[in-house]
Amino acid sequence: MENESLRILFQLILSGFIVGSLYALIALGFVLIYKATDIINFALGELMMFGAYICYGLITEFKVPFLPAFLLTLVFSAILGILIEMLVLRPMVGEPIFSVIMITIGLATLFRSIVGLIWGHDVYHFPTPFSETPIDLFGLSIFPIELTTSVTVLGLVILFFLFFRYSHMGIAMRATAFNQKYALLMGINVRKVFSIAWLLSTVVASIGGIFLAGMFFIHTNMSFIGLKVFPAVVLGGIDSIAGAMLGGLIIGIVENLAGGYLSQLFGSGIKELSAFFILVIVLMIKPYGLFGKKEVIRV
Amino acid sequence: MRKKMNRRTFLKYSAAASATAAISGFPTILRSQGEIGVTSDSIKIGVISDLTGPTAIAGIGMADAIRGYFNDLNEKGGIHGRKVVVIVEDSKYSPTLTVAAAKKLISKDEVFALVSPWGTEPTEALLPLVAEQKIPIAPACSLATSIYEPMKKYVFAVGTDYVDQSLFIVEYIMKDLKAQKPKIALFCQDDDWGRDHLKGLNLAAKKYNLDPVVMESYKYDAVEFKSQVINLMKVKPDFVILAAGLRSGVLFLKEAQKLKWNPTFIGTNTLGFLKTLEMAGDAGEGLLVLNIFAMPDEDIPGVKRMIEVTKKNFGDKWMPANEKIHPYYIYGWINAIVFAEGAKRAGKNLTREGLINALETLRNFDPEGLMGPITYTSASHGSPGYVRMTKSDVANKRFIPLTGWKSVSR
Amino acid sequence: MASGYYKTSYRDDLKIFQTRFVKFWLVILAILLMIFPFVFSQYILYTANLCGIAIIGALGLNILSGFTGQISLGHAAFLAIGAYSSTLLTLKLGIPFWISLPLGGCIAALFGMIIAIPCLRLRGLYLAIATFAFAFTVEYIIVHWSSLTNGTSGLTVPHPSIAGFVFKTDKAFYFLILVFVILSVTFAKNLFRTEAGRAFIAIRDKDIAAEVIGINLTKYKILSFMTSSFYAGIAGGLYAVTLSSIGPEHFTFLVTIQYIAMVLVGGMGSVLGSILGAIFMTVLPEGIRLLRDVLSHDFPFLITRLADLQSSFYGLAIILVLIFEPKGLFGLWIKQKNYWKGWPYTY
Repeated sequence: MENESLRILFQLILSGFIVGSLYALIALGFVLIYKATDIINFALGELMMFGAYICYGLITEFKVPFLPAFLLTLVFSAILGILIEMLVLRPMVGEPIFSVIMITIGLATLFRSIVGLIWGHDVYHFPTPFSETPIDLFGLSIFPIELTTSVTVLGLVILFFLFFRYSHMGIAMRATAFNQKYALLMGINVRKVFSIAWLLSTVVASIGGIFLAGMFFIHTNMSFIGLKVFPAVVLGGIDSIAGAMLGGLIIGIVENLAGGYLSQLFGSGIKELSAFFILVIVLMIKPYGLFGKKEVIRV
Repeated sequence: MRKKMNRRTFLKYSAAASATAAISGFPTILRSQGEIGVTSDSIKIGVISDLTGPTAIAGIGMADAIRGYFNDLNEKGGIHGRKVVVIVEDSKYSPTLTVAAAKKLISKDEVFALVSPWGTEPTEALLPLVAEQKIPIAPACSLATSIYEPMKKYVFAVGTDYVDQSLFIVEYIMKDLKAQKPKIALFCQDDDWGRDHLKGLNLAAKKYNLDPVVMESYKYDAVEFKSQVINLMKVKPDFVILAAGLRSGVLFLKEAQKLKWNPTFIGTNTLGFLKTLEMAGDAGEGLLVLNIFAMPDEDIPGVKRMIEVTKKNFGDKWMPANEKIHPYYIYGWINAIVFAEGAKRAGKNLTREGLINALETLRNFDPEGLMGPITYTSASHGSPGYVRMTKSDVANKRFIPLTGWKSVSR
Repeated sequence: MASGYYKTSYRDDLKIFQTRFVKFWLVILAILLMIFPFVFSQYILYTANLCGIAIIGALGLNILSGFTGQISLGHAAFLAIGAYSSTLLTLKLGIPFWISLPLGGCIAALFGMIIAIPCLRLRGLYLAIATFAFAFTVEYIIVHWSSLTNGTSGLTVPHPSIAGFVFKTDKAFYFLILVFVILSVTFAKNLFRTEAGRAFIAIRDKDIAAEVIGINLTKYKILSFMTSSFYAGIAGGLYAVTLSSIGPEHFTFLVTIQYIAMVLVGGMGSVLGSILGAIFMTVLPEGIRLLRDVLSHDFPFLITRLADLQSSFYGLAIILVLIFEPKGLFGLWIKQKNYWKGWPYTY
């Protein structure tokens, strides 16, 4: 009996870790843009979904095998990201933050309806090369695709962490986020920085979308996962890469633990509520999250 | 200064006067004779469905089925020489939008009746409007008990409601499977649909002296359901009832398979279509599913006719029928059949009251074999439910009926 | 246009409606508004009623976000609180509509105060998230406290009656809503001529500077939240009786987004902007529906797909307006007015 409840606990944590790595990916996409451009992107869920559907379309309509389809999707997302930045966000420079948020929401609505127009609102099976046989991991079970996702996310986070620490472009991005004017003065091509930030963010979102679809089927409601980005980034700190990952993982784990132990008491909504509960608590005690930097506002 | 003001003022007043006149020149023409929505050669009906919202997969099917049915009926001459004109509105499964769509259908399109408005909560939101406008919902597209109990003059319900479905499932477990003191768990959506199932299961559990049912619920837009699976696994039930949508139900099955957990899974009517097996793969092994409608691969004339008409009207959209036609498509088709029958019985002099009286004369009416027989009376607009149990045949991707159509008693 | 007007007293300068021209057109507008319900069909009336409610709600949001600069993603929650409060007061305590509606507004204002207090120190993204968390919590409570709210089944709202007259038809609701719209617009327009209103604007422009010159941030931020929520509460209460039934799906985050769209597209920080935005955003989906009806005879496949086109138009409208005219419809209006003011001289 003891072993049983321990096994359940660890399985719950593992489930949380799997879902959490998806949250971490979205949070990563969010932080990438915020860190470089100070923009709050509400369209991440839809960008994830769009990427997944492009890949789906390539595989089912054009019969492209998975790996090339995956890479093609990333290329497409990169172009999409740059286009969004140039056509939609650049004209919004200097506008109040509310307008910028709203325009990303407008984009989200647009993407969702385009997907609906082309593919309809059905639920489809997303074909992946991963086998459906669960792997045994120290007595716990995990699907191969889930394992791949978690490993990929970890890899990406380390990659971006190093990117922002040590690469030219990464440091340039951080400088731009800190103060655009000074960055310009230092000779940084701010326009290029913005484009690259969006490019990276959309690519990351697409990767997340493809894994999400592979694990939980592809359908237009999958964009709702985009809402989870807020608890994750608030917890981790909205401008911290490591924070994004940690935040996402923690939210995923907390959700599953809450669902596992509290749902009989509070009903199923406790899963979603626990994420927001954390958000509120963090806002109250440590508003800048685990790793965020304090904002200094000058008059 | 004075002179200029005079001319200006004159221009102002005349401009204002003409503007007012122009705008007031849009009077609404009130219809004068006959029943609303009925002319000498047409009957207008309004169909409100979820075409782009969270349940659009099912909603589009329902709407298409109705359109296809009446296209076919019109080709054959219509009802007493009148062609049925179907006007479809999108409600996105929202009660507000459903009410707005209904108001538009009623006042702008002046429809004779509302046929098969989609969804339980949206239909409930329509009830006050429908009673006030005295327009029939003939019949509704909802399996909730609240639609027909207490009885509403203008509303007819079709299909076995959720409570009855659950009662039948437990009866099947006890009588057909002869289970000994089984433990039952329920995985359902966090709303009235789920609660109705829980109510039914608990009623039955009390009747057979079983432990109360353990329930785990989910929100329809939830990403994953892993913790719910683990929670039910903890309880070690013998039977797990899946009152879930396609996505949630299949993901539950897959997660259970991953955790090597193997109770007997019984799905309700929402999982009763072949796509479930396609998406579940071998996690669908051993799945039992409740049927309230016939399956699209059944060899009965009613089903064959439906598929033929569908192919003719929509080409490949719903083909192959086995995979794409789902229970709510059939639900729409049956609703169309019921409306047509009622309008036929009401005779040439078609009125709303006439339609209601005509529907109340239905006794054991067979909707072309697609469902159990339908009976309405002046005291009840909800028909007693017929169900049957089927088993999955994963290799052949079909469901095999295990029982005949049985009636449920409360 | 307006020329040759000069004022000879301070009183003249302070008047809201300054020129005879404006006053004249307002009278015409009043007459048109009165005739409106007798001329148009129930469906158009229903849309007009929704516009009216949207105007009140949008005004409320504009007061908080457009004039005071506080980003709020929780507007739908206040609408919900107003709707449920006034409905429950009538249902459970038998309080007549003409008291329960304002009471519902007050309860919403109370919650506005409650949410304002932790939000005092937050700004930008964090404020947005905090208000979003509030909205989420309210939705959760509505769904799960079913003994009070009937959960997802929702509540049936009894027809309001004032002095014996029962409001049942859309025509009756039109006049009821019209009264409240006039009151709300007048109050809002006046608000920004008072000390409180100007304090709001100061907070929006640079709150630290405002504090430095002696504006009590706490007091005015809370006041702004409370006023905004009161408006939303009234709008919610009117919404409840117009629809005759309410449920949690009437107050989702999507509704908040719709209101934000109204305020942004109409023009932040302008009363006329909120009115224009509310009308535009309520009428746009209906307009597209009419378009679809016309096109569906030739393109029947659009029947089920065009509804997606509706939301794509919606999203596109938001994006285009924000890119090309950040001041929204109000900005367009002002530009047109200025153009015609100087016409035919374009300089």
